Amino acid sequence: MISAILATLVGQSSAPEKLDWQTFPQIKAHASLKASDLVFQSLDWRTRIFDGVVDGQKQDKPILMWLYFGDPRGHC
Amino acid sequence: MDYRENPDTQNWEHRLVTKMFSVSSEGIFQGIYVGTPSGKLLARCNAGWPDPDASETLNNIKKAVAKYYAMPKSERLLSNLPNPATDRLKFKEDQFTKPKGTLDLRVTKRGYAYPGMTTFDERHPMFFGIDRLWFKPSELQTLLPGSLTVGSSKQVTGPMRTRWVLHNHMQKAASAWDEPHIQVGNFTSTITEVSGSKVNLEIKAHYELKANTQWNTGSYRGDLLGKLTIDSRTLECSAFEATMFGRSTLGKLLPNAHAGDPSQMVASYITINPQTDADDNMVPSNWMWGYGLNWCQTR
Repeated sequence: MISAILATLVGQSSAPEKLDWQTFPQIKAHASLKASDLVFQSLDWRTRIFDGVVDGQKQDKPILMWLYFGDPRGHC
Repeated sequence: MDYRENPDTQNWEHRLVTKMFSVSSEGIFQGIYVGTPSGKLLARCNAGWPDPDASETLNNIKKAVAKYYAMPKSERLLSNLPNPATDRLKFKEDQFTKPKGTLDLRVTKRGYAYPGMTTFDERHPMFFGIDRLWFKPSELQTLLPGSLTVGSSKQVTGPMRTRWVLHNHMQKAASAWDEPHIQVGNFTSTITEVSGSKVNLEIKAHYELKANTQWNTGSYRGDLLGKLTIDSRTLECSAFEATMFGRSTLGKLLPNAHAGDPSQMVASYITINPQTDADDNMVPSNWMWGYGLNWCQTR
């Protein structure tokens, strides 16, 4: 039982030989966002500092800012 | 949004952001910060490098929040709300909009383990990439074979063939690709089912890219496989699912970004953008150099 679970876990993280309809679900699973990847979406982000300032002002709350060079999607 | 490069330095938002970060030795710099609506920077909170220390970051945020509530209201808040019409900075990308009927896809991607990898490098499998990929109706039309019958097939050309790779949706790092770098790019669309105006298509592609410029000497070899349902009359997609899988090789490892082998296998998954969060409404990261503002002008 333990070895079966381990084999499944290893299989999920190692690359298949090729892309076809048989390996499609495995490749999709590797590229899809896990629950832990989506935690950042639990915050009600604004995409502009102006909008955060206005909402913070209305609710008397501090603003949390995440600044990134270029774009957080990897285009610095 | 590039606050540092926006030329409208007299704008209210620009002045607030510049003033806020003027107390930081690095100025407007990447990181996690807490500030007041009045424009006072309370703390830079991110901790740990290259591996983020979430616990210490949270502690720093809590300390900054406590500092906020210890301040008099007159210091932490503005005396008046700014006017969105005049005080909100305008950025070029505000002009980049989706033409009516544009298929809005979400791309997520993750690399596989490779020799010598460390979490210093964004290609490490613990990191994912997320982006948008847009195709307007005139581009979607290129998927449809001339004869709308099961088994009909066509070689697809144009942006529907190239955008997947030129915009880096197949690799974890961002490289500067141009069309001449696509040495092989066979993209086929085949009808698998027809029901009234609804057409089910299978899409397949094989790509081989090699660049040799001052910005990119990398290569890529991989495939795309997917299926979609499109209305041949309205060109609206009601279902879309595809994966990309291939080997991405960086031509040059940058000392401030990469560690380990230059080559890794990468998986991408592309489906209809769920638009469940504000960031799902962000424009594609390659909006300027990949699409351009002219792209928005026609359907």
